[in-house]
Amino acid sequence: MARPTGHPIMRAGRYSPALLAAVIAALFLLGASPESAAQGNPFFGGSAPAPASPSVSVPVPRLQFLVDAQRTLRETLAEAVDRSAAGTGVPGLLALAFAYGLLHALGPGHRKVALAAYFLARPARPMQGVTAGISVAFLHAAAALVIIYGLYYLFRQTVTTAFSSVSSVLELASYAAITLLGLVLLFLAVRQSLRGRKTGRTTRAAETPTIAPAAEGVAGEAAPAEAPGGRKTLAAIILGSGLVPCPGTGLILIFCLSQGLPWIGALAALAVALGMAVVTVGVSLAAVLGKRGLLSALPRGSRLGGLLHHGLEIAGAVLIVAFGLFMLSPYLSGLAA
Amino acid sequence: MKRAVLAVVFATAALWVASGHPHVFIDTRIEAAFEDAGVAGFWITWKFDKVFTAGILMDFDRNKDEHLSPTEVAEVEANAFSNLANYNYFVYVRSPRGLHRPPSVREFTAYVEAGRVHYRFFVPYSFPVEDREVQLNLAVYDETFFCDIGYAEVAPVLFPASDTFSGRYSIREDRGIRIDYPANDGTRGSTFPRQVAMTLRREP
Repeated sequence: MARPTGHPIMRAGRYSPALLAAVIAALFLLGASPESAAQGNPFFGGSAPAPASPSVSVPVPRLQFLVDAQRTLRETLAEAVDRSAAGTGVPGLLALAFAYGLLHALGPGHRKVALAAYFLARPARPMQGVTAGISVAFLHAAAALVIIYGLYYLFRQTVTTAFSSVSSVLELASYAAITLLGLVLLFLAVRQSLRGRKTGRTTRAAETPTIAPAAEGVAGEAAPAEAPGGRKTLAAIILGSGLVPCPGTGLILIFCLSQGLPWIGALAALAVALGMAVVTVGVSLAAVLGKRGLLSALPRGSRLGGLLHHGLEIAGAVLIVAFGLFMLSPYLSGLAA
Repeated sequence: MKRAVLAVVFATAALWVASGHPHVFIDTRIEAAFEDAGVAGFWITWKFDKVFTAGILMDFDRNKDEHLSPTEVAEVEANAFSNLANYNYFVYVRSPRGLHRPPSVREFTAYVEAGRVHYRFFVPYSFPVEDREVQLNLAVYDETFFCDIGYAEVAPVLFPASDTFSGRYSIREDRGIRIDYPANDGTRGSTFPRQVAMTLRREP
């Protein structure tokens, strides 16, 4: 009897469940590490409130040499901006900005938790993971560019402090949107799970290979079925996550403006976004493929597979809600005080 | 198995990278200040990186002369320093009396030197120093990791010339003091600050 197979590129023999579980765990640990997303600038009064008391302890080591590497890279980047004022070294500057974006996005924040949790909660194609990762990274940088250039050319004098205040407002809106989206995804996941139970089937429709050549562009390659509200929820997670300006990009833009180099700043912001996209695409893809790989490794139609599928979707949605609520909690406690 | 090991290595490396996510880089210099009975407090000077410097100058150096006038310093203090009270100015003082987080500081000033913005302020902390050596530990550390605060490469700690008191110091990571820093995502982590361990005594 032939061994049950899953997605052709994700057969258990090639991607072991242990490896995929490790990758998913790494994703969450990476995103859920301390000093995460809403790092308001503590120097400015309009920044995000101090975070609430934590509920889970995750001891994380901190290697100073990696922090020092970021310090050196930022200083080198600033010197490269200075040199570019004389019209030299622009390619080098952009390469540095790309490296800075990559290193920067490896750090906490940048909505990696939201993206990974979304792709756990929803069936998706790898290309959707790529699209989401690229979109979030570029929106993240573009938001910083629009706000800072808008502030600079409208007000001139208060860019840094105003950027911090505007970022804080956008972060609040982002967390509210992410929480709301999580609730919608939770509703969809629970409803799908209940329907599956009602019909007595273990619905693995999302992950069950269905021949859809046009969808993937590769003949015979499997693709998940389009889930209800898939495109809308994908757009919502991209917008909800990406519209918060990246503080690292913001500081580089401010530095370029201070040197009278707005075009160099815009190009550097694009390069930073490209670097960040490497990480956000990687996180999204790993979540999409990791989930599919785990499910594909189980016998098709098995009860365990169905349970795992629904469990992952519900867990992903719960994680999004929890992430959003926790990020909102300092603002909410501030309102209550 | 090989891949699983690689995945774990990757995850661990990623976590380590993730642990450093600063946006502002600061070099700190600490100067002890004495009064008749012993320590009166500490002067702290921060030298900022070029990028943050540009932001401060863009907002507060109104006449763009790369010099901060008293009026401009007052604006810097009001708009880009006073909020640090919510973070106890990133300062931790540990003595035999226990941990002290300063609720306020005094005599803030800001200036530009060698193209970098500097902040300087006084952290009051009275502590008697007798003939027997006492140890005070001082760490300057941002729990949120928005700022990476290191110590100046040259003369990170200064003791004023005095016939009454003497001091020596070392900078080390103190594994006996754990800082639990809150995260914004429902977790928390622990780290061990690099701190200045000062040994002080009254000269006979």
